[in-house]
Amino acid sequence: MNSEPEDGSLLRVEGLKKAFPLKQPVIDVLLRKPALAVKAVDGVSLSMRRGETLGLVGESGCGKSTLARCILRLEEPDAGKVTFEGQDITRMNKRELRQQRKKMQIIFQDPYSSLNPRMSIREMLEEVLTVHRICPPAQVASRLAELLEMVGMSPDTMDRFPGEFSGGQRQRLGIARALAVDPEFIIADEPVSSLDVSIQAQIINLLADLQRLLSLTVLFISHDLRIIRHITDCVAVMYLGTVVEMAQTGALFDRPYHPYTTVLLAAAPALDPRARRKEYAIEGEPPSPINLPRGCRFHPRCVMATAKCREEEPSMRQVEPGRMVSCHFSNKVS
Amino acid sequence: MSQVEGRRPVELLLQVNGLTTYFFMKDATVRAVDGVTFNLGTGETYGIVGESGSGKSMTLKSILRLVPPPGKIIGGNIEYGGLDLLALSPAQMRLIRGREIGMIFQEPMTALNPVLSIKQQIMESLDTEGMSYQEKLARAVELLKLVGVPSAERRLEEYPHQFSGGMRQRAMIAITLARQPKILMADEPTTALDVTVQDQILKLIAGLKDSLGMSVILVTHDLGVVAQMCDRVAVMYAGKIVETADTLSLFSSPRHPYTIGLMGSLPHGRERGTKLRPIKGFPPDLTSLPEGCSFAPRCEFATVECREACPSATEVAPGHMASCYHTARLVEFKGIIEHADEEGGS
Repeated sequence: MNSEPEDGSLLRVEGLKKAFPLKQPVIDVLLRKPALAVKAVDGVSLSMRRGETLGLVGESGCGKSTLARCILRLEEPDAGKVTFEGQDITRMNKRELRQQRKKMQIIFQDPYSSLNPRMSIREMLEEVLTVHRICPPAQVASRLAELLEMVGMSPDTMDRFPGEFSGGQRQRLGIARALAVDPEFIIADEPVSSLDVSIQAQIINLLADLQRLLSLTVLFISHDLRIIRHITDCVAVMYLGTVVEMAQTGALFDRPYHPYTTVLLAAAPALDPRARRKEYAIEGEPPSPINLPRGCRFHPRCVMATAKCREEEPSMRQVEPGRMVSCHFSNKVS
Repeated sequence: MSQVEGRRPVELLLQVNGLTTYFFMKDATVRAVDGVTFNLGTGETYGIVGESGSGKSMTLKSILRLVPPPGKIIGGNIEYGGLDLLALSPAQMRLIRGREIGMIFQEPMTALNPVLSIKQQIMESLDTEGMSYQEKLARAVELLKLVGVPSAERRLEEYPHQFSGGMRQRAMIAITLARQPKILMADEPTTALDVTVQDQILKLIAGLKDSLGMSVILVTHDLGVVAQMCDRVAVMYAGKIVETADTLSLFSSPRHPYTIGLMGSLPHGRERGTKLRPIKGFPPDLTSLPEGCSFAPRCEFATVECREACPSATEVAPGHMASCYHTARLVEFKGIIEHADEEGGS
């Protein structure tokens, strides 16, 4: 985790911010009202060791995907720093960034919209290999076959088009495309959310195998806590643009510290019919990321909130080795 | 059909027998619902679980006779209050929809009318005979409060787009409750929602079911939702119910290879690094189902007979039915929960 300033970390995110300005009505501009913005990512710091799988959980709109896109600079962050192997990605020019993308890849949620429907699988993968000059032309064919086999697809399918494949197969192809450049770091953004349960399991097993086989460092974004628990080493929990808790996966699930983590775990429907609860985990819905509450951003919904929480925003601090919590009462929560 | 059901309900409210709905496309026939049989007891929550294309939603639509063309209900009967719903005239059926059997959908935004206020939509659904405007308005406020929408009086004036996803689903429930249906059918009511909001909506449905004395049919793909909500559950695959049992029995001792596969696909263990046991292959093509058992091509227990004829439902424990030739071989399989000694439920 990012507790000690050790430089064994592969990826380091520091104070990352990204806001999306809202279109302002003309009248408001003339009246010089302050412009409003959706604070999608509002000061996130985290770091990942090589070979580690970090889970990023949180509800929709909490900024998970924006954070991922900022890390790859698919979105330009407003503030903060992303370093990969000690190099500051946020300051790279286009050429450097293209080099960098060989090391960092992403798998998207929707396998239907993330593959070009007019390109055959061969064309799609060949393009990746040539653009990034991964291997000499003579070896392209064998590399393609190798990639498809790696994701459990038959090389015979090479000349078919994305439309001819099922959702699960397309996601395999999305993984093959990401792996084509032989990356070190992969962001998997809800990679199985649009798949059926039986297919989800196939893809999760595949990702876990590839992670081990290729020693990948993976940022795994999901709203599904069962999957996060299964596949990750550490977890960062996000709420309204910030990380509220970070810990080893087992520790976090066994004993959440932050009140929001507690709520999130309690809300997930348990797979045991004997463990039914009558009360719901939390009332209300997350407030809008445009007008963030003062103080701790979780305080309006928090059962433990006091005057201090309404005034002062807690900072992330280490409460035990490997566990960071941003709550004034992280010692009292259990 | 003489299906014996676990914890036999005091009173049967709805009996679905051999319901069959096919879609007749230009060059193929999709067997969406293929001989579905189940019953719903008064005050019961019955779950139908399955993956996309298994026919669970179309079963609900068939019950309300809302199958869109080129789909057609071609067989079976649906008994409700001494009537066969499939034999009613369209006018009679309209009296059943909403008043007797209400339905809520996965995406409330597409079910709500975007150009009418929530107030208009609730008041429109009220049985208005002999009610003054003031009475209707009061009832609408009451309904919106009942489903947990804060500042109901004010929010009644708003339009669907001003509501969040969770609030829209609440509004949808309020509209459905306006007619006081005896059966609430919910088609993936929380799939589009975040986990904390899903939790709220599920608890709301469970609470309303008890306080209003409704019965619920809940369609979902999520076994967690089934575990939390349902008294009994049916597992659907390729248009058929392959297994049905009380929820505890299903989770502790599943007896159909598909159910076992579904459970193996779910990460429910604690250990990182353990492998999931997914179902191999792909979901079936409903236009060209194999001879025999539809699950056979993906089934690790399949034998010659599975490929020749479709197994019928057999009772493996009181109230626990599974459509498989090999149920005896599956006894050793434990479900998600350790509960091996209590077979079948009481």
